[in-house]
This record gives sequence, structure tokens and C-alpha cells, in this order.
Amino acid sequence: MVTINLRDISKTYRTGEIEVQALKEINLSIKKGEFTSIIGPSGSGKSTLMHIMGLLDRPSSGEVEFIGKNVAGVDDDKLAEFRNKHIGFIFQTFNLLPRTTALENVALPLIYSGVERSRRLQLSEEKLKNVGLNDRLNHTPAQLSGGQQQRVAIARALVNNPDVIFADEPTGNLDSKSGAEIMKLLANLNAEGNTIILVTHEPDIAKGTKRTIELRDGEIIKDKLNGK
Amino acid sequence: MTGYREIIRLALDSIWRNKTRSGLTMLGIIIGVSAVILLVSLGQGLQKFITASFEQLGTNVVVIFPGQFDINQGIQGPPNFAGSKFTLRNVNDINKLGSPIVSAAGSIELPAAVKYKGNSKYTTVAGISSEYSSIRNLVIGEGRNITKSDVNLERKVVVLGEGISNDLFGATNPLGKQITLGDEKLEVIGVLQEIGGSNFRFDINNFVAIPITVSQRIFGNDSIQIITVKARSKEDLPKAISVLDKYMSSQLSDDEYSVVDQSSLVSTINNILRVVTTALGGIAAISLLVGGVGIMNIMLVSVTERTREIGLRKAVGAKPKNILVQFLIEAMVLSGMGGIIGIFIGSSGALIINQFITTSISLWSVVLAFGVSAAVGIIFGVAPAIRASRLDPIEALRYE
Repeated sequence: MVTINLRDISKTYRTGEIEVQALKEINLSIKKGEFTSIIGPSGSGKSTLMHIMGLLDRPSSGEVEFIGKNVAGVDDDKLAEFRNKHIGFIFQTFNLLPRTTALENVALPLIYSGVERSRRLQLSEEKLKNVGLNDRLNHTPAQLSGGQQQRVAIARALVNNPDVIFADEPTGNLDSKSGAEIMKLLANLNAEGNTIILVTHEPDIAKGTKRTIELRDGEIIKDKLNGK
Repeated sequence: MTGYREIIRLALDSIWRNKTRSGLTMLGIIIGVSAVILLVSLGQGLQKFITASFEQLGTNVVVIFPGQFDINQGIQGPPNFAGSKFTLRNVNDINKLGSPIVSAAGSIELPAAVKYKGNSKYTTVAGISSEYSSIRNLVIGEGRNITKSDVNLERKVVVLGEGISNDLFGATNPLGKQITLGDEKLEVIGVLQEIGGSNFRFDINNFVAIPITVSQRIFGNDSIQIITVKARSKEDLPKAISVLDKYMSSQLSDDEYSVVDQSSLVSTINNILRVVTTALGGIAAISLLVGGVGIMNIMLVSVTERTREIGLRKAVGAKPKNILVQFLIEAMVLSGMGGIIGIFIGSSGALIINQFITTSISLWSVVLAFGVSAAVGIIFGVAPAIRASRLDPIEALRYE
């Protein structure tokens, strides 16, 4: 089953006089259960590609099909709803709300899907247990290590049982040990059936995924399966 | 979808997480609202006080002042007491005018010191004709009033207010004792009943009354300052005024006397006070506006500071309107809470001041102050909230 299908996606940015073509006619298909890394140097267009696939941005031309639905004509509110129900995000800088407990942080997406509070906290607690933080429920980000904060962020990405999880440089702000743990956690989540798309500039990190797509100057130059 | 109760909870959470800042932001509104309530209650208290004082004097009373003194045409200077050309003959004539005039009294008021043994008191001494007490509703507590014969025979007698009687005599019975006024010895014949509060022109409790003929001799002045006239009823006042006008114009030129109806005096003074009260409230309301600008300022700072949070919320599914409502409610809660605290402080302040000066908290000032502070929250919360709702999630997430 195809989760995301991109057809002839181009993205052009205009800054004053200069036009920058970040993506050039990308064709790409992500299937359910894949663990894909998108790799490339900075400026290669990998972030733009992730934003378009994650429905945070719209292509200049081409079509995005998300779980079988063409999202071309969909308005911003509907896209927000889509992200809320079907997508989880993990960021390099964790992006947890300060002075807010791990439990409340994980519950955040559920607020916008209208889940009642007690149910929200119950679901969040389950997800925090999944990432091994059952003893840190009421800690605020300041009381957690970087690795623990990223685990909270992963629990948050999982809380809506999304169809796809995007991880944007998830190990970029972590030491190598914590980074390796996070990669192991992501691999486990994938083994449980989660579709994960990981953006990184480190080839070593990309090796931990099943499929690597390499971008350069807005074009896919390599798309290969990683042998284990 | 997303319930408003959830969003109100989010707003409260965020206010609670920034306690100091929220408190300082609310301070502007608190000061504004309490100032409005306090100042309006002072103004209204003054209005009430003056109305009550005049009513105590009687609502069917007309006063003739010397000089041109028409308060309804705007104040043209104070009454010309020194240049008064009124005489006791005028008072006697007016007493004979008949219906609707019941009686008339002349009076002179001058500041002077009264002494009894070691005690001395500086106060207002009034020379009055015998009708004065009944017109002014002065009630004798002990002894007797000043009579016609006291006035005609220039008897050296005095009636004291309750307060001054206590000051001079303490526990001693003042009746029959002699007090000193200037070089004269005067016998105390009566003490007025104590009256709560004070009266517009003088403090009755510190009032010293002597026969008007005696005061004319002591102060060496044949004229009288004020003629107080009692009409049959409040409804007869216009007729009484025209009768008095006719008589006075036959005696003096137009610029030497003014017939003033007390109730119109009250309404004029109240009109002035209402303007003053409104102006005071308005000035205080400006501080409310400043408080609102403070809220807008903090909310804008807050939006900038929380750019990443906004980006994240949008990424995980918050719609622009969710963000808009969150920030709007935050601003409204800040100003609303400030308003409630301000009402509390302003009202308590007014109640405390009421121990010293009359204040009157009016419902409209409370409703207005709270309404304005809530409106301020909405108006000044809109701009930051719109800015927050329009942030691009990608840009917002990258914001350092």
C-alpha cells in the first residue's frame, strides 16, 4: 500500500530577483511500513521535500497523493487536520513546550483532535511507556536529558497513531550514544509497522534505515535499498 | 472540534506559567479599573452629600443673596456680602408679603472666637432673626430658641451647636452660663440638637447663633448678608420667587440682589459635579487604555517569544483559528482578571475612604470599568493573535 506518492513535484522560491528551484520534478513513492532516509548536503532540497510530503508546504507544481488522496486543492484547515490525524513530526531541536510536563507535551496533538483530557493523558502515558519514559511523566523538558527529550518528542509523534512519521535530523543535537539509542528506537518502531521518513545529512545515520534517497540540487540522484 | 474550554485552559496554563509577567501586565488594567471606580465613587459620594445637605436645609427655601449671583447662568463671582444693602426692614416687609411666603429671616455670618473660662473656639457666629431656626430646621435640644423679643430688645443671648457646646463646657450644663464674644458677655439660652454630618454653608454642630441686632452692634454693621425665605411648599417656589423679585426690585437695583431657588442651586451643583465625575472617570479610563497597550505589547512579545511553540502547534494540527482564539483568550483573560482584581481593589478603596469622606460605588461604574477592560483585552489582543495565527509553520519552527 502506498502512503505517499509524489508526481513531478517542483518547488521554486523567489527571493527578490533571484529564483531558486529547490526541487525539480521529483517522482517518489513511499510505501506503508518503509523506513526511508532522505540524504543530501544542505541546500539539496531535502527539507523542502520533507515539508511537502509532511503537508506543511505546497509544491509549485506537481501532485501530492497522501494515503490515496490528492491534496492539491485542499485548504489550510483541512491540511492541519490531515497532519493532526495522519502525520507525526520529530525535530532536531525536539520542540517541546517549556515548563510543561512530558505527559502534557505528548498530549498536545490530541488537543487539536478533540480528544477529552483524561483520555489524552491516558494515551500519552501509554506512548511514554513505549519509549521507556514511564518514570518521567511529570518532568519538564528542563529536567530531562537531550536523549530523553527526543524520546518525549517521539512519543508525541506517535500519540495520534499516524500513518507516517517524519524525523528531521533527529540525532543532530544529541551525542553519539544518545543518537544511537534514538536510531534504535526508530528502528524498533518501524519493526512494529510504523512508516518512518528520516531526513539527515549524515550517511552513517542513513545506513540505519532500509531505503536511502539521495538528493542533490533538487533532484534525486540515488534511490537504493540498504542491505543489512 | 477543539473545545473552547480546552483553549481557555491553554490560555490559563500559559498565564500561570508566566506569573510575574502576567501580574505586571494585569497591573495596568488593575490600576485603571480601580481608579475609575474610586474616582467615580468619590464624585458620586460628593453629589449625594451635597443633595442630602440641601435637603436638610429644606426644599421649599429661597435665598436672597446680595450682588449679582445667578448660578444658573454660570457663576459670575461669589455673592457680594460686603456690599450688601439688605436691611432688617426688608426682612420685615417680606414677612408681610403673605402667601405663598410663610416667613423670612435675615442673617449675618462672620468668623469669630468664642470663649468660656480657659476654652476658646474659633467658629462661625451667625446673627439671626427669630424666624431663622424654623426656616433652617434647626431644632433646640435643651433650653430655648432666639425669640422676636430677643432680637427687638438686643438681648445678649446665644444658642450653641452641640459640638461647640461640648468643646466649651464639656460635661457642665451650659444653660445660663456666660460666654465671651469679642468684648461682649452672652448668656447661653439653648443648645441645638446634634445633627449628623455637616451642612452646605456651615457645620451646624459648630454653629453659634445670636440675635441679629446684637451681631449688627458687635460687628458694627447695619446691613444683613442673606435673607432666607420659606415658601408654603416646593410647588409654590416659582410664585414665591416672582413675588420676591417684584418686592426686591422696588427696593434695590437689579445688580444688588439675587433670588436663588435652592433646588435649582442643588441641580446646578449636581450638574457641575456630574461633569467633574465624568471627567475624572474619563481620565482614569485613559489609564485603562494605557493598560490595554501594555497587554498588546506583552502579547506581541509573547507571540515572538513563542514563535516555535506556534509553529509546533500548527505542525501537529492546530488550525490558524485555534491559534487566534488561544492568543485572544489569553489577552482577554489577562484583562478580565485585571478588571476583576481592579473592581475588588477600587471598591475596597472606596469603602475605606467612606470612613472619612462619603463615597458611593455605583453599579454603572463597575459595569463600565469591567466592560471597558474586557473590550480592551479583545481590541488589543486581536493584532497579536492575528499575527500568531498567520505565522508560517515552517518559518516558525526554524525561528531562533
